[in-house]
Amino acid sequence: MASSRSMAGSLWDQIEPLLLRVERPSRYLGCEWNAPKVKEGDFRVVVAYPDIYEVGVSNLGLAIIQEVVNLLDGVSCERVFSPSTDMEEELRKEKIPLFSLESHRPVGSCDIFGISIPHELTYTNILNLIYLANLPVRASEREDGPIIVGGGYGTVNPEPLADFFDLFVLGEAEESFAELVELVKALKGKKGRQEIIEEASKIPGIYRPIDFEFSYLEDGRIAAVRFRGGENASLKKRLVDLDKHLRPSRPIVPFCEAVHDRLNVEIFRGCTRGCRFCQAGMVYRPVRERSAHLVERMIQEALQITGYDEVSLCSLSSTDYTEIKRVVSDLKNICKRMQVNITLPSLRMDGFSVEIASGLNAAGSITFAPEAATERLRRVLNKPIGEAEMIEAVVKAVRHGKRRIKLYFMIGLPTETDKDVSEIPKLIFRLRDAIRAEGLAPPAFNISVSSFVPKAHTPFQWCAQETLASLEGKQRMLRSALQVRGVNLSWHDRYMSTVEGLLSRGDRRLGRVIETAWRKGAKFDSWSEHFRFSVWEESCLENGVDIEFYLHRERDPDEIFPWDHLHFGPSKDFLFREYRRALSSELTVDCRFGDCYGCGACENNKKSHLLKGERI
Amino acid sequence: MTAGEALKLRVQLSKEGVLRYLSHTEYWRTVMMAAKRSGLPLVYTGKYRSRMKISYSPPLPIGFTSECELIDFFISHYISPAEAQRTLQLNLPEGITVLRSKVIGSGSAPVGRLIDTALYIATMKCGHALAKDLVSAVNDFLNSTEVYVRRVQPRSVRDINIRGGVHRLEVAEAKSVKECLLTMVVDDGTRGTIKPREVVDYLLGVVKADPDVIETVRIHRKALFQMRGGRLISPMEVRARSRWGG
Repeated sequence: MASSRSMAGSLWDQIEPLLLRVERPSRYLGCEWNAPKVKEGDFRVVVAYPDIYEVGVSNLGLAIIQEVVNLLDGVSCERVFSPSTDMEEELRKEKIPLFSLESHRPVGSCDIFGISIPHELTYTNILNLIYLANLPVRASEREDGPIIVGGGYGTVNPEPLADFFDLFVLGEAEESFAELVELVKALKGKKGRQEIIEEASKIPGIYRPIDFEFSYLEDGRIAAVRFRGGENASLKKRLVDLDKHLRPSRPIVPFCEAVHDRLNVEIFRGCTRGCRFCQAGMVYRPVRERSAHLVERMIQEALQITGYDEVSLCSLSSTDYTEIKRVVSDLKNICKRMQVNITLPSLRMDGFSVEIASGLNAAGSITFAPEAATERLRRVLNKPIGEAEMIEAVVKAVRHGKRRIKLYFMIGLPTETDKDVSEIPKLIFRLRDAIRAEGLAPPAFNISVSSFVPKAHTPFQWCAQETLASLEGKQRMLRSALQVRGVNLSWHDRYMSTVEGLLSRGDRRLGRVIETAWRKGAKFDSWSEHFRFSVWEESCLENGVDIEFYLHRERDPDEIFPWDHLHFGPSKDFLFREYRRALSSELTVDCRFGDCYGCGACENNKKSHLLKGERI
Repeated sequence: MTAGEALKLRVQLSKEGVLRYLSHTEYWRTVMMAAKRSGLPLVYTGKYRSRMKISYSPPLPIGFTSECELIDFFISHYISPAEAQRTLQLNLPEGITVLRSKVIGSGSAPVGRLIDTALYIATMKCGHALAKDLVSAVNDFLNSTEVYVRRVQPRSVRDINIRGGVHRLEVAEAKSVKECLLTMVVDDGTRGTIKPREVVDYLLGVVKADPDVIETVRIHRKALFQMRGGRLISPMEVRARSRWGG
């Protein structure tokens, strides 16, 4: 620890005087428990998360990647997070560049700068990170300095960010990013920067945006995507076997309370429930479970070396894990002995899930996501939860001692009518009445309503996004109907959803908009206290970008999308088939335990579901 | 094991190096997670969500160092203090050192309810002239019955008389290193809290110290006490009706 601060190039002496001028200086210390030691002279990789420390340090993907890279011989991987606004002000005032947490050396002097792209509202923070590292934000203007690589969930449609990154890692990066680091390390000093980038772009799963060229029709739609003739025309995401990657094995324990202040252990990746709005459910296919004994081993070992008092079994739908009963039963005893609580996020709304979750943690709250209040609309979404199941779930939850029930709904869904929205309060009242009818005191209902944003690589990628005026009307309707005791209503800012929608299905022309918005001061756009919609409106106007074109237009069936050349599993044909089925409220069953319906995820990735147990 | 068993492991720790930038909650969270890792026989409380049963000393402001951070871990059975110290130290990050530990039986109040007084030492770069001025300012301070400082907080601005809470105040000059040492014994804990930084800033304001001098101020918490009849008693020395004490 002390040695890394005194390492050549460390900015610690300049940073330390700033620490008492900013809120929560521990964000900038590094040296947390289990933080890796870096070696001077190693090939240097810095991985970044474009939000403040407390958010970024909770990110499982970043923790996995850092550990994977640190295992490579002669390579040190450090972290950096967005400095909070007060720290950024100090850094700019004192002309101190962005620094890594582990050695406090400038990020700009590393060899590879990997930036996680978690969601659309962090795009301006990404530009800010590059700028604070004293690097030109546009890839075309960078002649030297680290190779900037984007990865994570946001690479599902990286096109709006294409101008700013040298390379993207598509899909799960455990193997491909490590291969990239090895290659760049081997070529360092032997070839020029551009040659190294070109070589790296040949690695499967690595995407160099300049290898593809877009042309546009007069009406703004994409005319064609032309491959410029590099070697990696087949751009498929990479997938890994979770049993071969038991990471992170030494989770870093932050000094402060992080947003997910617990040990997070993945039990499986992928989900084939087939919810048509869910991007993660589409792009992480097929399902790959981790063996139960390895899950248990990881948890026991990590608890001993971290000291956490809570462990979360992470996945897209925890109770779908075929070994959930066994794991929960085994862990209950272990965790009781170790005084550790177990939580299961992402629960299905049914009695089985409630039984499992309540057995772990009797009191407190439980969260479900029915998404829509009418059975018809839930069929459109392919999330066919019956009302009887919902009632069973909430009654069981209350019987098990839950005093708060959180329900997630969306408005602005495809085919949604005012009636569907007005059913939300009615459904909540029916659930409350059903609890009362069982002689139980109704819990507090926390209702969270978000505005639906159609996403790339989902069956709803052809849909128009609801207009601001319509969303406002629906929110008003809900606010007036849900002003009752015991029901707390909250919603996502519809203006934020608009920017999210603009970028989620955006193309390369939006790079200018992002840059303009950032230059006008946009950052931390997912934070209500920092978000300014007017900046985005002005930026679109200045760059001749019509928000309506990207948001409120239903796409033609054969329209070329900016992400069509990037293959994340399900084929476009399958997605369109699903879209048609959605419009006629037809259900598609989970292929995990039934017949294959040919989504293409298994064939395209030469992998199939990897289940460790039998259907529950 | 229940919380009713009142055996406590009292540990005295330091806060030094870069960890002085941890907040009160961050510091104790770090210590508690280290205790959990170290496998001490800790007692937990809470019906639904188990929480470690502990009691700790009054908050130390961010940036201060200390050699007297105190925590009582409620433990289910006796453990040798030396062994507890060894295993805890192995699990603590650099910047936190276990200085002493002892097992305390029933009859002694937890540390959070004992402490009411603290000894702080503030050091700052200063020449001989400023040191002389400080001596005079300290004398004036001690001869006053009222010393008001303005406390600005996010939702309030108040003028507070800090004089009553300052029990001892001395200034010494270390000529060789051109430093002044300001030693103060102030209320800190159950009887209220005098912020040492406010005392220092008040005195530096009186002597019209340059901002360069103010920048160099470093404050260290040297000791915590319980004041009994005018005597200062260390919580590590508090007698308890215990067969383990001492």
